[in-house]
Amino acid sequence: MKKIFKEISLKGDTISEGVSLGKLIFLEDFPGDVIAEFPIQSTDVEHEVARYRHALFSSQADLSSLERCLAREGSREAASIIHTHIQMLKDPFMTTFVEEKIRQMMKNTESVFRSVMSDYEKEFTKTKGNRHSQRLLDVKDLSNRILRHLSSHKQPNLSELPNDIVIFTQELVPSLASEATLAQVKGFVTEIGGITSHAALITRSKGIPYMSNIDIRSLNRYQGCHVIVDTHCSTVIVNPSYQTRIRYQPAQNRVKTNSREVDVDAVQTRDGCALTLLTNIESIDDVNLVKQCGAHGIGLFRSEFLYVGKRLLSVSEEEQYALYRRLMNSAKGKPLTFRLFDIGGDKGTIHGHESESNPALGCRAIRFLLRYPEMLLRQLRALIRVSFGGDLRILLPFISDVTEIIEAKRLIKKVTHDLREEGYQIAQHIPIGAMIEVPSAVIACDLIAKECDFFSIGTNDLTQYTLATDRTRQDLHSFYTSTHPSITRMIRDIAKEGDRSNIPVSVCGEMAAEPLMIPLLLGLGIRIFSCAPRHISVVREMARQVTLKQCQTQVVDIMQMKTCAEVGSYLRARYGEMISEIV
Amino acid sequence: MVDKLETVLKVKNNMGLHVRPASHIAKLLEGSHSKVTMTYKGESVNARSIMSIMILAAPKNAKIHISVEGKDARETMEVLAQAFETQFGEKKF
Repeated sequence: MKKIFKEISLKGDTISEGVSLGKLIFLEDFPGDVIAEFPIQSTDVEHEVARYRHALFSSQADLSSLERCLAREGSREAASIIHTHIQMLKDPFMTTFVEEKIRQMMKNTESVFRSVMSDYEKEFTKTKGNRHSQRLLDVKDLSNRILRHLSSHKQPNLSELPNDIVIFTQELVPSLASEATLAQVKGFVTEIGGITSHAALITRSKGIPYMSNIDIRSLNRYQGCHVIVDTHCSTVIVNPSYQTRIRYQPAQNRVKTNSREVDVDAVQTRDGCALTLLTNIESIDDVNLVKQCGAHGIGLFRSEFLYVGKRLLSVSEEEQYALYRRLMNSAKGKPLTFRLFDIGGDKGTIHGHESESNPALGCRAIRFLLRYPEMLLRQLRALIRVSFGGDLRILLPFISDVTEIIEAKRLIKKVTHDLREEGYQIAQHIPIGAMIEVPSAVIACDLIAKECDFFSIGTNDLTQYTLATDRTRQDLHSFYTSTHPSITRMIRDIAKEGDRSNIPVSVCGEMAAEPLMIPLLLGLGIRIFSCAPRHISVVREMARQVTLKQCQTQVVDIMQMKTCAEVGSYLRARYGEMISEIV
Repeated sequence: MVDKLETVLKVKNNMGLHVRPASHIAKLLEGSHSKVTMTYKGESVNARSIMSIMILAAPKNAKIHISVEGKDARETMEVLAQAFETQFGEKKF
């Protein structure tokens, strides 16, 4: 029997704006009703309690790793929401109360937990009505996670799904929204969902279009079909005709770049100071966004993301080579700043290695790489093999001492020499840069400048280490601020050193994507900005509307100010209006 | 000596006592040795439990009766008053 599917247009409510095209993927809700319920012997009770504790522990482990991931990519909003889930795991309601129930009810843990949670939901909706049901989503999200760990159902894993998908699901939970990246997920469509939910906040901060209140029940058979999400028309078009798809092609580009014509070369301030805009990316598919958003190249490629969840230590040279080859080809001759694996320490424990008692001050990034040179050499060989014919630059993460650069350079030289001996064609010169994210590197930047070809300031870590403040700690938020006088002085000093030593200096932290910070950074002497592709258009617009002269004069004023609050209100008074027009 | 203090604090943030403020409060209380109870519309809950605070569903401007009992009652109360005042860290700068 031949099936003919028509184009279907559905109206819904906009939760997060945007227009996009992708392939339809259905994600089923966790089937809570399949949980079996059976009595247990009194001798089994403690075993069931232990199983419950283990599920809580596993849930905490995957949430912590998600939180770290989000903090690293600069999704502070999402990270703080995931943090509340971790907090909830410690809630006496989740711990002692559930355990007591298991002992009282003498039934298997899953069924007890499910019944406790469904009582909680009833209690919640009884008194509050459905108006607050959005707020239950965090609880549902967490309890499904725990149930999955109990019942050995797999957690939904986005990394197993293809790219360019639009996810259709009953309700969007915060953890799924957190895991999504715009490079992979082009949109969310749900049956239920409100604009104030955490998932809504997260999708908006990530720029992923999201529409809800759409009846998705009958759409199962369209799995894999094209789907267009167009929040401007409050419409989702399933299985669009060829004509419709063509009609949407320009709109899709418009969303990604925010302006129809992107003039790559002409990024300059009103008084003619030329700037370079680069992107921070972490997957090969993201490379396409670089051109679409009109950036000059890649300022930060986070190579450790290529192997999330894999055993980094053992990825073979050939496997890496194949990936880097694709990466280099997609970069099409544009600058590709490749950061070596930034792993270990607070970036998460590596399989088979002990966790550290103070990971933020531990064996991370370059320290880890130099301690395990076999892994570093494999990465370097695979990478340098693809250097010929492209514009590869190698970025060394977490430099705190010049000897680390000297040692890394020695290894790079050796690898280059060996590869030439083996008959490979290698680029004449591969610039080596230092990530400036530890205060010692700032203070001794004159020494570091002598050993490298460029600086890249990681403002997120630099702020965290300078102000001795864990940036994922919500309660310390007020201490974590990039406008702190110590940070502005550091950036000024690095920019000056770059000038003196004639090496380029870029800023690649969250600060470079913050419109209000652009005039400040310009005034401090920064000319290269590297941020996520979705922020490029805003940075470009901002830069085009200011004059360098003014920024420099303002920085003189700012340097006199004692507090972050003064700096903030000074900048807002001058640029607040401009920003609200751009963003 | 065990102190018992009681007061009424007003919810000032726009979204009310939802999961994030609740989590903020629970985290603050990790350092306290007192028993802390929050009462709203006749319902009393343990302030260390995020999920119990959420059950109150107290909106903006709700007045929450707080009772703190323990040897560090005074300090605990000060921390709580400060948290309510600063909108649980949700106040926009």
